[in-house]
Amino acid sequence: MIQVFYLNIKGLNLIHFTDMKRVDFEIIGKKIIVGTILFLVPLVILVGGLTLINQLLK
Amino acid sequence: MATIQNSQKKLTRDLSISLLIYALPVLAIYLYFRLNSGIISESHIALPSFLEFAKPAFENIRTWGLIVFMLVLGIVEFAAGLYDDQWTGEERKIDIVCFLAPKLLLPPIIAFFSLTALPYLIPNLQNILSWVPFWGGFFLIAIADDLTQYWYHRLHHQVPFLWRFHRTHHSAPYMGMAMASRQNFIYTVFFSQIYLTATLTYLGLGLPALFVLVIKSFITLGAHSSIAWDKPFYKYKVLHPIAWVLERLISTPATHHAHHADTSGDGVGHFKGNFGNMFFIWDMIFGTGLITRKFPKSYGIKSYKQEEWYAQFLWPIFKSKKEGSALAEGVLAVPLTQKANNTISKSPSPAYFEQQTQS
Repeated sequence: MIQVFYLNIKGLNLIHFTDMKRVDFEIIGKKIIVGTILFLVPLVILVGGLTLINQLLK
Repeated sequence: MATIQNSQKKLTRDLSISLLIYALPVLAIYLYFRLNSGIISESHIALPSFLEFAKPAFENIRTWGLIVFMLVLGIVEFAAGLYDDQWTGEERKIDIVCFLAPKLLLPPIIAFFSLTALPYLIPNLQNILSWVPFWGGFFLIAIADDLTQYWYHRLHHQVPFLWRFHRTHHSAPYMGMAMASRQNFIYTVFFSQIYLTATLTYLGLGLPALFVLVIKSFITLGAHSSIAWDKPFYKYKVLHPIAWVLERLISTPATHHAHHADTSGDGVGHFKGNFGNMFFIWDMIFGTGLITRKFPKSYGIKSYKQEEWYAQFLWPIFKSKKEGSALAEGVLAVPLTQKANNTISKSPSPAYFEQQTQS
């Protein structure tokens, strides 16, 4: 777990870092999975399709 | 249970239709070569001669021109008093950070992806699609990029655990050019279509990608701006036929402002739809569109607590300390079953579910 700490420069409290919990990492991970699927599915259709027609037309 | 099943059926149907739409440019390119008995050339994509003059302009727009245009647009919006007195406090910080950060942080990330990751992962595939004619590549990138962003956007509205990554974009109680870039950074950095287009560029479709992305940038910027360029098309009857085509084809201020309204179902606001970015046609196809030619009275989200700029920019890395905020520590997304059945349970501690005013 990321430790909680304050950034203090010349007495000025800048940002309070909060702990990221396991649930936060999980939610980012799930989001990355969704994004990856949205990236891969069209890529496979398009590149696969174009490669196929390239072969058919040669 | 019936609601969940209907939603799942609709989602499945729309996703299936999308797979066919993705295949359309491939089919068009095949038919072009087949019907013209064309020979697939190994040479690179050539720009049609009538577009040669535009290439330097598009290159400049893509690098620095768009940023200049956005700043000029912002100055005009301010001068016209279109932000009223709402651009204060946290709104200024979040808008400025969201305007600057992606422009500074995204280019190196995309450059790493395009120039290091892709050559490492697929070294033999560079420019393998350079035989695709320019118009085919344009059609393909336009669909691939924008339809993917439609789905990315729509899922962030309809899937509860994704909503808070997109909430920042809707939290402002106003519209303006800054809204186009006002996003949680994690939402931006994992934009699927950016990597899709970057990959297609690596594979040889860079020239059509340049043209598509510049046109798309202008459309989405115009759709978010508080200067409603589409109003004359609704006002003057002679322009109505053009309005009819435009509002069904691309995102206009009227349709996109409706998406940013803080209401839905009142006949004008429509945050439950109008998800299109460049093309509104996806909303027409999937039945998520509402065209009224009217503008909402108010924008934003009802549960907005003017959360801190760092929480809106980087949730869940940084959380809000505001009481009752959806971005606060310990708040969970409403499970899909409860959302569909409209039974939100609240437990006082240690965690509670965010108020679902967006769905």
